[in-house]
Amino acid sequence: MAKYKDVEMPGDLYYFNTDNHVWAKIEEDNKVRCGIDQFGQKAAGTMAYVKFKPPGGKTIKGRPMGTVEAGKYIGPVRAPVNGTILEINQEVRDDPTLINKDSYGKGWIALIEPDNLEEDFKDLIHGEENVQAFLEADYKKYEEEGLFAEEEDK
Amino acid sequence: MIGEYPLFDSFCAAVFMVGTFIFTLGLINNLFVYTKGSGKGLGQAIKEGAKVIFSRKIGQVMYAVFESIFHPRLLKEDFLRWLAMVSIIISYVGIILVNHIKAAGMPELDKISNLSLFFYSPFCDIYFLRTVTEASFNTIQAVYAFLNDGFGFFILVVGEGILIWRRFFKRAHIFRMKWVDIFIVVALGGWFALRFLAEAVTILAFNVPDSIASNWFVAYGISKVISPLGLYWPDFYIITWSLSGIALATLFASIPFHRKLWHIISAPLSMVVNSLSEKKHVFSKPEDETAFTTRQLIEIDACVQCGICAEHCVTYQQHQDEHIVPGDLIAAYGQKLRQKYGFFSSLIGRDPPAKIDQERFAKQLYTCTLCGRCREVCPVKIDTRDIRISMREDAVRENFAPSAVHMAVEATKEERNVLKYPNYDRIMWAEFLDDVPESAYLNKDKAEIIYFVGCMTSFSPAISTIAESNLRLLYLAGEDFALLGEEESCCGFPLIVGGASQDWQWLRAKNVERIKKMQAKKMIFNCASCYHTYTHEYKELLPEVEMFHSIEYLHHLVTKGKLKFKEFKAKVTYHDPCDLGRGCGIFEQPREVIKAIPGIEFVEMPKNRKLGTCCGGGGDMEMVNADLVNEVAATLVGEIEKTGADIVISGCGQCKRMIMNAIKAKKAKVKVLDTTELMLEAGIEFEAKD
Amino acid sequence: MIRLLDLNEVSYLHSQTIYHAVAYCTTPASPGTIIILRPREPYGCVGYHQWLEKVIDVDYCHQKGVPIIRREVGGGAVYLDSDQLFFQCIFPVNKAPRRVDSLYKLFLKPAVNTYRRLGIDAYYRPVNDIQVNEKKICGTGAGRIEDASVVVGNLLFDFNYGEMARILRVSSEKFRDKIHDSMQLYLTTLRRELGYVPDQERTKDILIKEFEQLLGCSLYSDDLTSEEQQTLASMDKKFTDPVWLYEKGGKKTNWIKISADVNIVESTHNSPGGPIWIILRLKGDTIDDIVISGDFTIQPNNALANLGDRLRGQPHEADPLLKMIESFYKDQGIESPGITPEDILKAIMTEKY
Repeated sequence: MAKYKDVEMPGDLYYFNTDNHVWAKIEEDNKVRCGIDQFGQKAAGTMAYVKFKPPGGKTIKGRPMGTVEAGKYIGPVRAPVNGTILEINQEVRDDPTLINKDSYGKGWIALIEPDNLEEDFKDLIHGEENVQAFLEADYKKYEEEGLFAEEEDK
Repeated sequence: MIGEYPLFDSFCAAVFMVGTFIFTLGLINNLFVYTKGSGKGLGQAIKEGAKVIFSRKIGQVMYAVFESIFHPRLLKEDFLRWLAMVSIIISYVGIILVNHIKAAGMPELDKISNLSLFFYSPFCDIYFLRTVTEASFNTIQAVYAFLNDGFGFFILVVGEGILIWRRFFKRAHIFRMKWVDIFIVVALGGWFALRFLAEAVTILAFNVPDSIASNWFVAYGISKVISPLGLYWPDFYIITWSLSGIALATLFASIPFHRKLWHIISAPLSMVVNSLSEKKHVFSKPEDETAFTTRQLIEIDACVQCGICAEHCVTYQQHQDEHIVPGDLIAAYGQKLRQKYGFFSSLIGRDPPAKIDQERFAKQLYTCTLCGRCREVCPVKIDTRDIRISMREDAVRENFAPSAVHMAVEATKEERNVLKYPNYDRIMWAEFLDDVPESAYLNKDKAEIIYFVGCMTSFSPAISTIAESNLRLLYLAGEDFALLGEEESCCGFPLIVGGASQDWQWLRAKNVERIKKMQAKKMIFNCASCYHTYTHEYKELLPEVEMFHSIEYLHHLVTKGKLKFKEFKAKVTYHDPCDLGRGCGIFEQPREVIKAIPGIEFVEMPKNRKLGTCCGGGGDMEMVNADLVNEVAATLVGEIEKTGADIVISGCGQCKRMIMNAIKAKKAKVKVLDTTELMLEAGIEFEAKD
Repeated sequence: MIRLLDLNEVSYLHSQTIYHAVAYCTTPASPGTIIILRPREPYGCVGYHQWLEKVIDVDYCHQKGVPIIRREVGGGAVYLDSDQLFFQCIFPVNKAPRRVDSLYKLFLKPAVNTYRRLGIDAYYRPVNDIQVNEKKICGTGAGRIEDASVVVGNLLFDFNYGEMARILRVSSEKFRDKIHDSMQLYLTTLRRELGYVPDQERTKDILIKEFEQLLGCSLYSDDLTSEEQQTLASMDKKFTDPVWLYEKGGKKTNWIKISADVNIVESTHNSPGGPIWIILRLKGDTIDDIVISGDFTIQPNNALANLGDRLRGQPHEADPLLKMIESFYKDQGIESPGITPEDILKAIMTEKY
């Protein structure tokens, strides 16, 4: 588990080096489940509205597959792989704060059928050391430049 | 000159002359600041002003003069304050006229030159009461006397009385009281109180017959009261008149040095200048001396810190922070400008304000939604919204604007929108539409109508349904329309209101290039701010393109009978978006459109149209204080709830966003819809296109 | 057979000195060498012909702790850090194309193909650019060092536009802003184009394979020879020697290159009415952006901004521009004592690229 201050990033997941920090997990049948990691939700703030491409929609790696809105922040959720969306998490659509409260569990966003899993995953960050370095570098940068959303009374 | 009191006879006039000299120095100091304006220089402005006086616009000028005396806006606000103001204005003008006319006809003052007469006339009763006889006193003199004391009475008892009661007993002032406020109240009426006393003493000192003295009715009354004291009145005659002379000189000399007195000159000047000016924002350039135009520099001096702006400011309402309202900021800027650019003060030189103050000041500058309600109620008709933008431009120029503004500028450079969202996915919202084929609106070489969606509507999950409903509407109406797609850039509004006066024009150039390529004849907007920006700042580059807000378009369809509605039972109210209503004058079309739906019960918001309440979402305030924005939205939702409506309609996506958030937070039982969404929900049928 | 020096992360100094050392040790019999590395720390780097103090804001760099190197290859000033992957090709002169443009075209091909493999529609733009959608996406340099032909370049994963603009020494902050703007418009990165930063190791593997394909043989991994090590030590010394760094430069130009066809300059022209100050950005021979201002009277007050708008998109040629300025003066009724359309034209044409 990579950890820095109040953010945790489980070592068994894969992380996408992009704004909003997307995590990805390979599930059975080589499907990919993904969501926003704890760093991403801290940067954005308490999620208020979300909108994602519907199941059947095509995803292009690096391009937005949806948008999250948290107070004054509106940002893209970028797809970690090329593929087709199989499922969007209805619970998150009804209660976007799940992304904040349970980023890796109930706050998952999409289940994707990847076109080329192995190839696409080569760009994702994985492994304790790499993930820790990635987390620390970004956290420090955000802290320094005041880019984290202000803490709200939850 | 009457020989009896040689030195004293000229004393008051002499003191008044000294006071006038100081006044003149102050006048030069202040007027010099006006030469520092950007835009048209002072010389050009005066030339153009002179041209206007002899044209049809003379009517506007005369109305402005009327307004500066009779203050109709103030009458709407508060009757007593209005009464005080008008009493003081009319009485002062009256007294000056009466005394001048009287002095000009006085044989005792025959030997005084016409110019010097100005300085003797306020004190003409010194000489008059001394020598008056039953024979020489006629009806006209009686009238002068009566008017003199009558006007004085209005100044002191009515005018000052109301002001003092309001400030010291009702404690109704918005801005914290300072010693100078007390000085002004004393100075304004003090000299006249002394004058009444002096008249009374004169009556006693020279045994003026009752039949004559009673015309100075106030002084007469006072003389009856003090007579029992049995003092040696001739001595007091000299003392009281001299004191009143010093008091008047002090008052006159002080006028240029505090805005509550200087506005006597600057407010009418500002109101006249405003009546002649174009209502267009002038963007300051780095090489301009100040970020303000000549007109704005005059306006800044016209503010008297009456506090009416605060009374109507919904942001002020939340925490009573007086430092965010125009009355405070304009006064602070006025002081800053005078220190730096006043004729004499610039010679002394001052240090620039300390960094910490600049930061606090910057936050206050940006704590405003630019809703413009203050502009509607300002008694001296200062364009507070325009000045606020110019003050923000000053902050950007001097590098103390909040970092959020800089980040917004940087974001537009990278992605042509302030959210830094990848602009090539600007129409991702359209992917959710199965019922409108892409070919109807995308990848077209040209189109008659361009539907300009705007950044917030395109990207925000909360309100992208507005884009969907507008699109559906245009498609169902059978229009030849297109979206600019990823070629659509931010209209520039957040940068304009943020004060980045030179950083948005390239976005405009990009949009205009694209629109011209599409050979569009019309444009439709769903966002009030985009519409405001296009109609104010883009029109000159797109003169042949007609611009409509989607509400105007709906109104056109309804009045042409092209839209038919099914019945829709609901109690509905309408929220006037600031940029659409106050900003562009569109009030009645949305109401007519909504009322055209059978079954709708329409109720007005308690404050509507020109005085409508802001949702909190504008003016970049979200960038510096998101919590305050939510509080303002909550206030608006409170007002909506009071109407008892089930649905509130708005004509702006940002308004809808703010209201949605506040409804959620308050768990209110109201639904918010955009006008086009209401149309589709109400179930419309289109007549075949002819 | 061609050598590969796959060096991962090296110090900022070595990111420049190693290829110089290899070049100096190259003989007609040497195999070609491809070096791939990343600098550990950020630094500024100026070209051989540049006069460092005139080009870089040295005080700022000292204050921020940003080192500066002057290289022996020509070209302009750049700000480099670990978000770029460097590739450096050193070949004996007789084994490489003679002409500079052929040299570039050949040795930039692997980078172009690597970008394309990553999903970007990159292409080679003569003379020495790799572009995507008319935006530059690499830094390049080439030259001869003794018996070696050298081509260097980098793949831009990400780029610090702010620092790049900040380290330059400019005559006005407005010009710095304009440079920054111009880079935002005409310089792009993998992060911008893809939306994410691809894995550097994987990208490096692709790049190496592309070089192998270009050169028609596999690259063998190697280390620096002892001779090269020695030369490296002396290069390290030379490049940290103030005498070398601050040597007065030869060619002087006020133009700052943004990409192959985009250049920007700031100039002042003294006219009888006062100084006219221009910031001009050319794209090819066309005026891409122009800011005209000055310390003189002109009525109406916003005339200069409007003139700037009018001239955008026009060719940078004296006669047609003069006609445009004259007709602008006429139909706007411009009054500017001491400044004529000819003066404004002179200001715009002062610096011909």
